[in-house]
Amino acid sequence: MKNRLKELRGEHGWSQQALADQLDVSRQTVNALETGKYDPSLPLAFKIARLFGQPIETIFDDEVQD
Amino acid sequence: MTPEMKRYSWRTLVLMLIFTGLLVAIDKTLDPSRNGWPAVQAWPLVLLTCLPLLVYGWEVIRYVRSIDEMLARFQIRAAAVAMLAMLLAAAVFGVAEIYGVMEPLNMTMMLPIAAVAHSVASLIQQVRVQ
Repeated sequence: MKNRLKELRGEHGWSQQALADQLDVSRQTVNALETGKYDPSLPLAFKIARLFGQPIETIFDDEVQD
Repeated sequence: MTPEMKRYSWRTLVLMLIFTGLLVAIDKTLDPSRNGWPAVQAWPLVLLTCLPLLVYGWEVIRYVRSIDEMLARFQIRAAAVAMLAMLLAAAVFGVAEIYGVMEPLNMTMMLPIAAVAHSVASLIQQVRVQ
């Protein structure tokens, strides 16, 4: 699944660790999400959407990543 | 790799080595079952031998409490690998015991094998997402 997590994190000037702390997950999880190695659970996806103030579908795209 | 994972991994290895060491040492030196020890006198040795397992159990609980959903998924996968390792070890030790190649003691060795396999499988998965 594609996502704009890295781009949004960059816009806010946050490190992976800073984002991980806000989402209450490990830095590895943020890294795995950004690289498309892991798809978040629905609660985590909602948490991410709320944090960035955007709808889930503008952050995550269910098109398969190359 | 998270500090919690490092701690969990090395403690698993050390605790399982202590467990195995105690088990083999007591079996080879005192051998309570063959030396006619009354069961009541042997219980403290059972408790002593199982002490590392209790500490291991605490470490597992502590680690599981500290992880998030992705790491939890890794733990589930690692548990499947550990279960497979335990089944294979049980098959090998069980068959070997039937043919008289191994002593019954070796069946107890499935636990350290499973614990270490679980820890290593977890580690490998975490390193792959680094």
